[in-house]
Amino acid sequence: MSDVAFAIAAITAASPAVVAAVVGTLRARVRRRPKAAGSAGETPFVVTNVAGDVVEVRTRGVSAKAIGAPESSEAILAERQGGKLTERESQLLMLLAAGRTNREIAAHLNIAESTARVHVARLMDKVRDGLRERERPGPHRPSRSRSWEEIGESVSTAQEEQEPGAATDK
Amino acid sequence: MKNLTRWHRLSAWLVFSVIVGLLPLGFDLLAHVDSGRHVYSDILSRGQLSLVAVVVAGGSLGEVVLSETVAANRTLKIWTIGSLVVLLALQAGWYADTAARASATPSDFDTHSVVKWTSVAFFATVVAGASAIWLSCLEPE
Repeated sequence: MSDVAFAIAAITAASPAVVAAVVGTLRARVRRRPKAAGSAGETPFVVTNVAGDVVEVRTRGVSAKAIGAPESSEAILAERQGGKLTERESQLLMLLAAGRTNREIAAHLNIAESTARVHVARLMDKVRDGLRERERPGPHRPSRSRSWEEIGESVSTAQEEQEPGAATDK
Repeated sequence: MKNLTRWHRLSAWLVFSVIVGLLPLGFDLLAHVDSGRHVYSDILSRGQLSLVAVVVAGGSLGEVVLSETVAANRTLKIWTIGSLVVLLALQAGWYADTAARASATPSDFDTHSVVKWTSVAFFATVVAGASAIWLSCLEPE
């Protein structure tokens, strides 16, 4: 093997490390970028509890409307997550609430179907953990466990009973 | 160590790994200066820069392996480790090949080519090593 070939091989071998550093730096910058409440791309929404009472108003990077999920799913999402889900997981949850399949979610988020499947499985684990926490006795916790469908229905019913615009503040 | 910025750690690595690694060759250069000959060919003709490159790549490899990496950067870390391992093996093999060629056929041995291309590869290794240090300094979430 000639010296030139060795040098070319060395440069080729070095390039992934350089690319990795560049990509890592860019990712770190994206992670650190502050998200100003109410800025472009963030939709304020009302967080309601199961009974439909307004708990607080939040802004997040994603909204049900932005991804074409039903409006009620925002409330369901807020009720379910308790602020413990990441942006991506929230997005996934809303897509699931909209009845999208793994394939559709993958296409929507521009990821592989297998990746979507893994994300959904992790999300469901996290959500189940949240449910278990809710099952424990406490001042503001339901006394019995309910399925997602039950929670969703109760939130939707509560929203319908409220005046338009009370459940979502957009 | 926690208060050190990325630039501090990169500078420390550059000084204590790269420059210190080059010190023996620097002293060799000083010893050859008075001879009036083509000193670089004397000092680097047997692929000595490859040896320093192995040390540099090894140091960076250790840093990146021990670093705490965010989950999102795990793939990048694996890429970097793979890159440095390949560089290490390549430079070590190149040094062995160069040394063997220099001993076997001294008349056909092109020292200028060795000096030129080992320098290029050394520079590539330093850049890869610096990238690895940089990646290892990206703060965990």
